Amino acid sequence: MDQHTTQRDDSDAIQRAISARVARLGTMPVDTSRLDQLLRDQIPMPHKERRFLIFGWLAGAGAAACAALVIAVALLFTGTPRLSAEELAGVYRNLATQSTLAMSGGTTNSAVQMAPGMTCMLQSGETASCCRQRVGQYRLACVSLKSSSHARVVMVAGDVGTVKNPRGQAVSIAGNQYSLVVLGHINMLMRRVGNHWYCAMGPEKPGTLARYLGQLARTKK
Amino acid sequence: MNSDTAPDAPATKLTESELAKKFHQLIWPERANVLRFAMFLTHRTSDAEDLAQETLLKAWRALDRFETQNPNIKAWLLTILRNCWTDSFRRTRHERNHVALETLPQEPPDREHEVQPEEEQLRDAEVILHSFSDQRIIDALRTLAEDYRWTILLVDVSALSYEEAAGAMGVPIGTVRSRLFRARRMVRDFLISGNFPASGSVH
Repeated sequence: MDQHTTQRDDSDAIQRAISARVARLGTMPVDTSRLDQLLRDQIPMPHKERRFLIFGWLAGAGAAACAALVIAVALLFTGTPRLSAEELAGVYRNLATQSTLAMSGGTTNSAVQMAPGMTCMLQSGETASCCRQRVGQYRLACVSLKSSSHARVVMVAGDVGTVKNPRGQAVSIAGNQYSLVVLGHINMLMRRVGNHWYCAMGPEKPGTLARYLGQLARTKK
Repeated sequence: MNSDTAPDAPATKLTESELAKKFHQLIWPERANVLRFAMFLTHRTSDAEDLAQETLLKAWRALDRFETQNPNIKAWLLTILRNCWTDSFRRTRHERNHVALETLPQEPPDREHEVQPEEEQLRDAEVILHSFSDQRIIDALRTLAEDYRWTILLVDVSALSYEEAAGAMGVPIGTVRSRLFRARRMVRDFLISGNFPASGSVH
């Protein structure tokens, strides 16, 4: 009976590993531009979008110049570009496929420096590595953290003045306000503090991700 | 085989503008998921786009009958996709690795009783989690018989529940569970074996 129990436990571990690895395909980026055009040819737009679509059909350099002017004005007023959820999920995928993590500062009451002026406190049994990940033209400070139960959480910090975090659903956890995006099996919990935004990503529940965000701290200069 | 639509939903007469708004609120955000799923089934991007387009157009035509009080858009769309796949693309697909479910070889009895040491088993799990590219995983999925591939795509990739996946495929939940177990094991065997499929990647 013990042998069968051990066999079942081992089999369960493999099943979970395969499930987790296959699940990552759910965040694989796809180009929908051709599909979008095929659909727009056959499905009417809502009235609001139809106005912009008509605008887009104007011919000649005048349309291009007007579009450039609109974009320039929009950028002038909105300023900072915004990452998409897929781009941020790509950061998680890149870091989650790394097979080893650099041991940083031991395993108890340790802190790893995520970026100048920012640290991540490690809980007992956690290991972490810090790096900067390139997303388009931006570089983000990241911590890839592995818990004692082998769960992988990636935390990202960004400067609101440089690039904004993806939009998400407003949620409240333990009295704090967050923004949540769910992409396949990846939960992304984000919070803005001052001029920075922070994101904790992984298959963990939002409540658990909120705890990880609480491990980030800014150091006083 | 399940119907594409929600048969018990009351027929609600909506204007075209209301339908268009409903489509863009509920279905448009799911188009990337539909296209991605289609790419795991087909070998060419153009085939995937055609399959996704057909799926979303059918959804558009059935939208006025879709129950929005408790929407399960993803399961509904994937059910439509499966029906499109079965009706249209099964006849014209160019898969070379299709294996009918009933022709799969039985597991040798002694393999079922193999016991690996815990450390080695953990190492295998780590290898599975960290060492394979997305394309390799997709290649592994393409070696599966269709029903196994659909099961693992619906449950593991698309995060449907067993009940939702069973509804999409028109099989009992127990069948989903057993197929999922075998599909994952076959994927693992493919990855560890280092074999390469005859077919190439999506182009």
